[in-house]
Amino acid sequence: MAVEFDVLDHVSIGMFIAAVSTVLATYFSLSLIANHLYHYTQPNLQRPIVRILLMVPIYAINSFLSLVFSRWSLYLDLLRDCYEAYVVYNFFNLLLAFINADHDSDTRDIELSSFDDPSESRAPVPSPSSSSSSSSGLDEQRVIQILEAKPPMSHPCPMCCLPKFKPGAAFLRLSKRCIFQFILVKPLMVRR
Amino acid sequence: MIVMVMVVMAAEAVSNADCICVRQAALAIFLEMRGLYGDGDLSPSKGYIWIVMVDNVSITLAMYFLVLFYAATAPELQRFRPVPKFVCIKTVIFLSFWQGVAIAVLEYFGILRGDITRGWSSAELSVGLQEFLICIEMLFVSIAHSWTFGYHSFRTENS
Repeated sequence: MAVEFDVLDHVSIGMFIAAVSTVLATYFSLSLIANHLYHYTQPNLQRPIVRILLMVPIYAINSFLSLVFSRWSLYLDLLRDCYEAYVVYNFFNLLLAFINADHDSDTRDIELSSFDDPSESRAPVPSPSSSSSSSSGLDEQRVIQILEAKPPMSHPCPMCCLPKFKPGAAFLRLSKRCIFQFILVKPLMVRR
Repeated sequence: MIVMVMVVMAAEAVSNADCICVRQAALAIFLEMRGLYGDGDLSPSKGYIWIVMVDNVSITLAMYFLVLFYAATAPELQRFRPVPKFVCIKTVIFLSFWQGVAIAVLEYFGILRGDITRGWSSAELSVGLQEFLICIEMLFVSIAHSWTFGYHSFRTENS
């Protein structure tokens, strides 16, 4: 009896739990991705969303593989950390796409309500001349225009001693660089 | 910054390889081959402390600008509920980071001890525990994703 319990020790129970949760997590997120791809109505928003959702199967399968083949865990972890940086970058892209989508629906609302009351919380944004030609795709010009319309802002709480920053094209460029450097640095700095 | 680390490493001509079995990657592997890595060694003549610092500065910078960009565009983004989405992504990154730290601390104080006779050394056990926890967390994250990144708002009327 004691021998049998020893065979089914903590490690194999752990492996079993890990396998079950990996399979379930992969199933849930792959079905969610499949649903997104089936209702692929807004590619600009859904492309980064699907890439972010792919994080779950990649993380789960990766971790399970490196649990089973612990010799290769170093290389598998390297892959996982690279994808983590890619997810952060895609989340930023998703924010940009959201701003564009918000602007699209704003202009549509304004057109429908015949300019009677543009929302006062948002600064009225002049419609770019090229809006008809590039109605799809990420339009950075619009994001820049929305940012330019904002007053200088102070940094959030722990950094509020820093001078105020002015949102605009330079700010967007700086944000992009600061987020993109993570993709470059992360794979180099993986460690145990 | 990478260049800075490389310059520091080149300047420090320390060549005695600590014969400890460390597992690292990329730059860490390169430094280890030259005997300059020194896992857990906080001396500035070893690579470890520099790699930890650069990694932390890099992730902090990226996260800070993500937050700053969100702060600047909050009214436009409000409709899309970006905060739960951000929390979902952030949780994975921070959990995997902090549980790694916690496991390292447990291993350091000898609470987490492997059993060689069963084929698990302490280092392997801590790595395995980290992978095991990520497998479990992913199940919860996948459930959370179906709330935060739901597809229902993208459905058209006829489909």
